[in-house]
Amino acid sequence: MTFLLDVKGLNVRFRTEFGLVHAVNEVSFSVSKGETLAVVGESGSGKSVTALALMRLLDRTALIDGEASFEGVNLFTMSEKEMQKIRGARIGMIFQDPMTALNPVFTVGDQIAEVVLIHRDCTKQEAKTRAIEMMGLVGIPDSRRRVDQYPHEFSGGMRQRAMIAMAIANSPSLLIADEPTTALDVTVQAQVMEVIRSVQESIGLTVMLITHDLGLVAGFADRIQVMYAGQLVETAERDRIFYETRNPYTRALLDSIPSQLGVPGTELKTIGGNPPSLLSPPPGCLFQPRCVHATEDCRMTRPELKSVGQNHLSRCLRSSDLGVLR
Amino acid sequence: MLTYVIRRVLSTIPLLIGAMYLVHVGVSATSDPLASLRLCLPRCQEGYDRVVEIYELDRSIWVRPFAWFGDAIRGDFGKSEALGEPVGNVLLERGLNTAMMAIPAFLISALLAVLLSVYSARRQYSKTDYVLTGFSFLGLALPTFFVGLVLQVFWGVWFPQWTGMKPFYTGSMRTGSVLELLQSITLPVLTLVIVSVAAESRFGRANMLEIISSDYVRTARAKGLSESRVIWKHALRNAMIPLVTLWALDFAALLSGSVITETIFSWPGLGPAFVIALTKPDLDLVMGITILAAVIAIVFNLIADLLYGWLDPRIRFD
Ligand SMILES: Nc1ncnc2c1ncn2[C@@H]1O[C@H](COP(=O)(O)OP(=O)(O)OP(=O)(O)O)[C@@H](O)[C@H]1O
Ligand SMILES: [Mg+2]
Repeated sequence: MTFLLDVKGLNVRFRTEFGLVHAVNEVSFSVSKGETLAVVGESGSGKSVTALALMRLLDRTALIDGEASFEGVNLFTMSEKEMQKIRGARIGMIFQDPMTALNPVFTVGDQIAEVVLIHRDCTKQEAKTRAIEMMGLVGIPDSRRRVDQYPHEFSGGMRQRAMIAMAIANSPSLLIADEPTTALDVTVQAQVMEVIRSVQESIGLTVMLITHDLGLVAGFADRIQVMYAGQLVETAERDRIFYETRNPYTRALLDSIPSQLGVPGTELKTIGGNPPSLLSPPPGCLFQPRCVHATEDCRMTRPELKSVGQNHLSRCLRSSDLGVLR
Repeated sequence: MLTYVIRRVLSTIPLLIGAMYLVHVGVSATSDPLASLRLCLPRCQEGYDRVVEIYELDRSIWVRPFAWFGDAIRGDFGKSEALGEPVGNVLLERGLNTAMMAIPAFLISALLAVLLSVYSARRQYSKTDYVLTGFSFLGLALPTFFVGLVLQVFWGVWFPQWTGMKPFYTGSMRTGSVLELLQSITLPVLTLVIVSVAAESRFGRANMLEIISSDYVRTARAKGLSESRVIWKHALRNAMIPLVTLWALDFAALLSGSVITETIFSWPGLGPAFVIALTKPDLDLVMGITILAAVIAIVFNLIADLLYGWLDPRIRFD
């Protein structure tokens, strides 16, 4: 089986005045055509850095190595010029904060049309028509008029829709959505996810959805990949992650989802402690200081990512003796 | 928008009148135009009386400005005693001389400020950035007269043979050749450029740094735009917004005559005329130059506001 995106041994380190920050360590994963991969993990686990590394949008302080083959080409070895032909054309990306992601001094329509103009051989008028069409597709009402409005005339939800329109205007094969709903209020979150789902169906998009909200993922992802402290700790099909959890960190993450039923009196569980320093990661398992199942061995030995079932990988020394975690 | 402009212009009139009134009263209160005549009294009683009558010196200093206003409205700004010419002519002629120096100085420094701030911001903490930062602090710290004198001595006195530049303006504006003009205008323009570019590029760099790490610049890159398009289209337009105010202030100041630079290079502009007017004092000339400077300031503030609105769609006039 060939993958749309196949990442092998991705490492991202940042040069800082305190030393090297190991933001992403030996991350390997692949995404097949048409599927939705959710990347979850708490703040600072390296989700955004992974995505930005793939788009080669990190600043000069980032040292990237590894291999990322996308539609048969390696993203990390191509020239910047070739990469520009991929960004916005073959891979679209949307970001967390739609309030600041659009340029305040250009109209929304111009910003959408621009991505069409630079990647296609078409006239300004055709690009604008395409922008209007895209705005309609993502559910911006009255798009013929709103195409000439500026970002400040749009609400947060509408701006995120505009970002989606921009990201998919050239019918890319991959959409990377980095916490697309985190900055939005709950009702709008659902609408924006619905938009992503519907465009995914209509243009056959593969989606890499980054979020720390497992509740959001539950109804949306085909596969889930859990990250902790720059490492991949568990990956499997959605239902296996939810019902056959094998990694203690994933379990803790699932337990911290506020109950949908909201039974009065039940306390919200949190994960105690903090993630380790990425400057000088301690030996042993990185989650071990916060893990309820930790043993002496966990402090000394760094666990490998091991197969624990069909397409199911987990990074835990005690995978086999703990079994399914509930 | 037209109504906005009209309202803005009208709203400055009371301010203008108030300011002119205070300047008139202030100069009258601190000087005595009759001092020398009084020395020869009673021999020159006749002349003394005539001067008192013409300039209404028997009236209180608080009502004297009204006569000036009356004439000014009719376009008569009086006569400069010191330069022996009508104030209107002095303003026109000297104003043009000043503009000849101010316009290139402004354009060059604005362009340089943009280029330097983009360059420094994109190569933050590089050697060139440090060197540019060092020079701009030097430019900020050194007083204008010092910069002017160094240029004058270096290019005009020690090494004039290299470029033929002149340390002073000597010729006549009307009869001199273009080459002569260029030779004498280069050093003062350079002085003004150095002084203004230092402040403008500092400000521009800080601004640009903030913008190139902003979310919408990242979005522009994620669209696959080339780096030059990201910088010159998406970042620059935003970076210009705060710079416009600074430029308007700088340009207005340059056009009102740069007292120090023009004086050092003996450039016959408004700056030296203002010094002459104040030291005499030559009340009509002081008033003339002040009102010209005030009008320039008002016009440029208005232009800055309009540009602001044009660059930033979040600002609208109605
Ligand atoms: N430019 C940088 N220089 C140094 N460290 C960085 C830089 N960018 C990110 N990091 C570090 O890399 C780690 C991973 O950050 P990342 O933004 O990927 O987290 P995340 O999983 O996306 O979290 P969030 O949910 O908060 O978005 C963090 O510890 C962060 O401090
Ligand atoms: Mg993030």
